[in-house]
Amino acid sequence: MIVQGVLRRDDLGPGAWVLVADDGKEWMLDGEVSPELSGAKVRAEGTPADSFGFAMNGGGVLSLSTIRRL
Amino acid sequence: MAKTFRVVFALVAVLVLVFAFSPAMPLREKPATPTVFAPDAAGRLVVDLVDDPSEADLEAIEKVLGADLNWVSPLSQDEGLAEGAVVDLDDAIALLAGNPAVEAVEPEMTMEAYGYPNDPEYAKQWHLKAMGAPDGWAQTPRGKGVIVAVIDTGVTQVDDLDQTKVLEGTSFVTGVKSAKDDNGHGTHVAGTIAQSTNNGKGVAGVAPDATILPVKVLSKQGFGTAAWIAAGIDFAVDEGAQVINLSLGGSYSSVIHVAIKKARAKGVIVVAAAGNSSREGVGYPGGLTETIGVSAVGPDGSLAPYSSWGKGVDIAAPGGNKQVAGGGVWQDTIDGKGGHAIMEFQGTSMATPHVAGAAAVLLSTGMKPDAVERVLLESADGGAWDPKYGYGKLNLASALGSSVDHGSALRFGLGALLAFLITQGVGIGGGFRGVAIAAAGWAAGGLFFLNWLPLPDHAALDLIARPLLAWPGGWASFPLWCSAVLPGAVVLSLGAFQRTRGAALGLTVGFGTHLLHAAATGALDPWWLGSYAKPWLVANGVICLVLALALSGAEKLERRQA
Repeated sequence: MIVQGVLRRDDLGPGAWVLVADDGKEWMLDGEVSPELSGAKVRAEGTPADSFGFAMNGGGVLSLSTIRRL
Repeated sequence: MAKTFRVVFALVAVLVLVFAFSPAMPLREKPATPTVFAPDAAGRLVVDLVDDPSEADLEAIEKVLGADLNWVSPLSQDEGLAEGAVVDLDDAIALLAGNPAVEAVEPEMTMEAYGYPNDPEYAKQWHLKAMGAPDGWAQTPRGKGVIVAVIDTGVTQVDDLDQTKVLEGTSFVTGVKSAKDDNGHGTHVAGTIAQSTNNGKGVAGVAPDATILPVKVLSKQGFGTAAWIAAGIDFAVDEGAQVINLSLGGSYSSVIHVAIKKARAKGVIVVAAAGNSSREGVGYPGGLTETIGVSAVGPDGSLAPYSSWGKGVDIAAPGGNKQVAGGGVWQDTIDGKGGHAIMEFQGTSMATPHVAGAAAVLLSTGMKPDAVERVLLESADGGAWDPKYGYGKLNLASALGSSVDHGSALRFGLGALLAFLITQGVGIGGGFRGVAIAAAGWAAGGLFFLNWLPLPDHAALDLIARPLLAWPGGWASFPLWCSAVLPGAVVLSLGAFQRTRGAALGLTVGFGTHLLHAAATGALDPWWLGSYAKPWLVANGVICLVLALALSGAEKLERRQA
């Protein structure tokens, strides 16, 4: 699936990437993300996953394939 | 004749005390003279502002210095202690000289701490003080012999885990064989539980003598599957873990639930994070009835802004709040560049290991897992169950005080028995013996049974319920408190008079019993003495018993003369 929104770095533990989608839903991102994208509008492609993690922000988990700045 | 005996006895008692503290005894070396950084250079400055300063007061000082200062810890703002780097220490000190807002200013010193623990960055760890960790260090074996599984991103034995027993562990993450940490989260969690403490470096942990079992179930990015986590829990149970720390969460998983049920059936305590959703609704497995669900509080004791709350929260613990300067949880962890650093994290992930560490401390006193869970919740600072804090905020000091530990009952019995035998041996009975037995029981084990009674929560009752060596405040860490000094004073004062001699005998016997029991179990550890702690406890315990025998002899002699 493709999600567009704004990328945020949550200050939890060592930090966690959260994509706030245009529809308001929050996705925790499981994958490599460049710190340069923090705060940027991005387009992420990946698969929703029923994963567990330490971020625990209540949102869904998106297992990332690609992410790029819009 | 009686007078002569008293004088001789007093002299003997003094000689015994002098012997106890003679140079032959293995006293620890004096601390090194504090090292002060050369003041005519850049360095760090400590400024003590007048008490209860505001942020504006601090900013005013920062303007004078042209430097950024921070409160030494969130708890030190009331006292006005701030620190920061300056370009020239001499100039900075001169600039603040005579400033009415400043009580004292000096270069930050590197000292060998003459207190516990000597970890130089311990001052930052408001979270350990807030949950009563120092009482655990002073009064218990500090988690010794208890295996705590950290089911997380792995654990790397960083520099400040150098004295911590860390097992090899395993990884369930696909493609990762080692249980070493590649994220930083798991190592930080392990540090809160069992950071090497009083090792002269870094920071401290709640249960430094506990053993860490690393179980890697989360990837480098911090994610893992339910299958990995369930397998990790099964592995931890098979490896003998007595406490499992789950600083992770997600949606409900039946395989994880089954694994946790199996762990509970084997007496394993499972502690899990409530979640970081900033709203009502606890995640899983923290929300399961089989886990101790942990919400997070900041330095001010209120719910942290990110913490989840609601049904499933059993207890609250320090998880930090980085909106407050220095308000995170400080532990040593990997820095992502091949090294390590003392880092400040926040999250219910950080709150959870405070509870797991406290559970390890209580288990190491000999308490059973069910009792540990009950005591942790019953002793938490709070009233009725609350959706934000569960049964209240974690308080290890209170847990140790309110717990009906088996050691207290055993010591009470031993102390009373010894007092009976000593008085029986010299043929003294009646009220003297009764007073001696009661005093010995109390001095050895405290009136521990008061904790069973529905009495009001009062500081005086709490003191009576504990033996002297378990009084709050970490007194038991001090070698002179763990010695024959106090019984010696009792013997010289109360022991000199027939009316109070029974009590003196009992107190001395009880105190000695506690010292000997502590030497056998490791329940007390006057750290200053290092490896000499056990001989010290034994020697002083024996001295107490010798003093008691001497008192009983004095009593017998006086009765004969009468």
